[in-house]
Amino acid sequence: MLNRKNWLLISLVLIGIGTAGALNILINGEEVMGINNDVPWGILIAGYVFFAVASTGVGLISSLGHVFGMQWFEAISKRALLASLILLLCGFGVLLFDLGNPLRMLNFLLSPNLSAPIWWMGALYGLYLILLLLELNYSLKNDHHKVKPIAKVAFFVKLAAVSNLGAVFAMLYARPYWSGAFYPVYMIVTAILSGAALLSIIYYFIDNKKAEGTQSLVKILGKILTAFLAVTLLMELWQVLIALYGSTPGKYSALMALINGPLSIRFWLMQIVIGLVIPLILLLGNNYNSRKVFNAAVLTMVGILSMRLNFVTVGQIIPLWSGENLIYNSYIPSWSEWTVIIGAIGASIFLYLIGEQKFDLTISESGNDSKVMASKAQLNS
Amino acid sequence: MANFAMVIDLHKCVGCGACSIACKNENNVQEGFFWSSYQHKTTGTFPNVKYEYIPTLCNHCENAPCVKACPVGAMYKDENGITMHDAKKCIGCKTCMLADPYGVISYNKAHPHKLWKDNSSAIKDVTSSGTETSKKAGVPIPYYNPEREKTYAGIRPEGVVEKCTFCDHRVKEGELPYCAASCPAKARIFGDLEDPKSEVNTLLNKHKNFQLKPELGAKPKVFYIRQY
Repeated sequence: MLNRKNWLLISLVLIGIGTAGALNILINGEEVMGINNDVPWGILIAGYVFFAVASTGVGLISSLGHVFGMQWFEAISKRALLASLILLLCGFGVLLFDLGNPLRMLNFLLSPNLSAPIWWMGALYGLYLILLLLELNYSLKNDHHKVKPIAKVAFFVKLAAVSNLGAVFAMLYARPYWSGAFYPVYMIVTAILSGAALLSIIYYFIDNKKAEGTQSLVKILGKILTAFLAVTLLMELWQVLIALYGSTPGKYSALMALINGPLSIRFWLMQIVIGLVIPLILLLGNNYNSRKVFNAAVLTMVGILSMRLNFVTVGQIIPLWSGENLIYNSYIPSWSEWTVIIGAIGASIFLYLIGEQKFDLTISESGNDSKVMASKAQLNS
Repeated sequence: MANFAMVIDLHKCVGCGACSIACKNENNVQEGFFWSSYQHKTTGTFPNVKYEYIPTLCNHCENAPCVKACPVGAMYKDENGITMHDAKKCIGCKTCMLADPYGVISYNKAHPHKLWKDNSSAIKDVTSSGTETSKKAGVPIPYYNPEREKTYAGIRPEGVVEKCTFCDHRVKEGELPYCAASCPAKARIFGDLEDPKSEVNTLLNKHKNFQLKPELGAKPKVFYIRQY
């Protein structure tokens, strides 16, 4: 297995690649991006959704410890909070490159429009960022009395933020594929899916380092991952069946682009088979073996990245006006857009490794060590 | 206060596109963008073929989805029921373009009116290049309508969206939107829905009319009467 040094090196290379694209966008403007008047939202929006939802998902799993008092999860809460913070910052970073005038962000405060879901997105994720900083700060100081109430508020803010992110798309009612009550819920489900997958990956490395070779946390995370892979697969199935059943214009043709059109390889191969079916088979077939959970989690994350790209693209692929012959709107991401996403992935790995080194993220939480250790021991036996 | 709307008489419209050209002149609309555009549809097989031509522009919806979706209020309704855009507030998030059911909002992802910074000429050593013309004229953009600046960015800068404003700068002076003024067939009738005697109201009462995508509930204010 690769060691820390190698991972640092890999992440720095990824950041380097990302910096090239980021500089190209900063210097030459959005002209170097593939977005156009037909498809105004490109892979940077997909990347933002990927990071923001993963951040919320990791945070939601930490809530199981800090809010619901499940001791196994108290053990991972510090790492989860750190990961959530890093992912959120990377998400915001990616989003800024998609804005034509990022310096005018202050208008969110000076001239707010409360009927815009995207305003709420800024407000809720901004609030989440503040709560996350507070919760992480007090967690690191092991100040349990302050962590609990913050975590409780943060739990509801997380749910509101991630479901509102779904509503940002669901309320664009001129785009039939997105509109409806499906996506706010879907975002919550896939948040937990990405949270469980990312924490499985993190804990695979951490458990491997431990002398006692405990694999309990990977095992529990693997179970959550299995459950949410199954739920997500079912949600995808319903989305496909409902759109097929009614043949509603717009929704139906967008779905056909996804399942039997230009997006179909990415959808079936990346999103469904690699992202959901293979991980599910890997996890169900064996006793949550740590290595298998890790493999399944990595595949899940690859699938989720593809899922976000498909989700953002498919909503815009059908022209607002089409005659008898349907010609799909086209969008080809430029290298600069791709590399910004790659750079953000590198940055999140890099920042996490630094955080892991700088802070004490072990489980000495709230004087509950003995209980946590006991429950872990019980699980291992 | 007024509630401005437009009636397009499809029986009078010949599909010449003068409205789109006039609009570009009046509003300094750059290459590739159309505030005033059209949709056309050919259906059937020969000899039973039908051709439909529908001029389109911002519908200035009463319940405008783009206004609702804009996080910073850069898209807003003015006191005359016109859907306006504030280029100074716009953060360039492009959400309005996705909320808009009609595809009438464009995004300035590049520096506008690039032609005037272009060094190439159509016929070398014979015709002038954009840069040359601009230099000789002594201004960055030689063909430009300064009237537009009265109420909106004369040229919309990079990183913001832009759309039709019903020529609010002309309407304020008591003139018609330039597309309506330029239509050779007088197919575009502009007026106030609040005024029971306006020509717009007369026509809407006289003829059966339709709006585009009324099922979305945006209450669009461009009405079409009669047939092509």
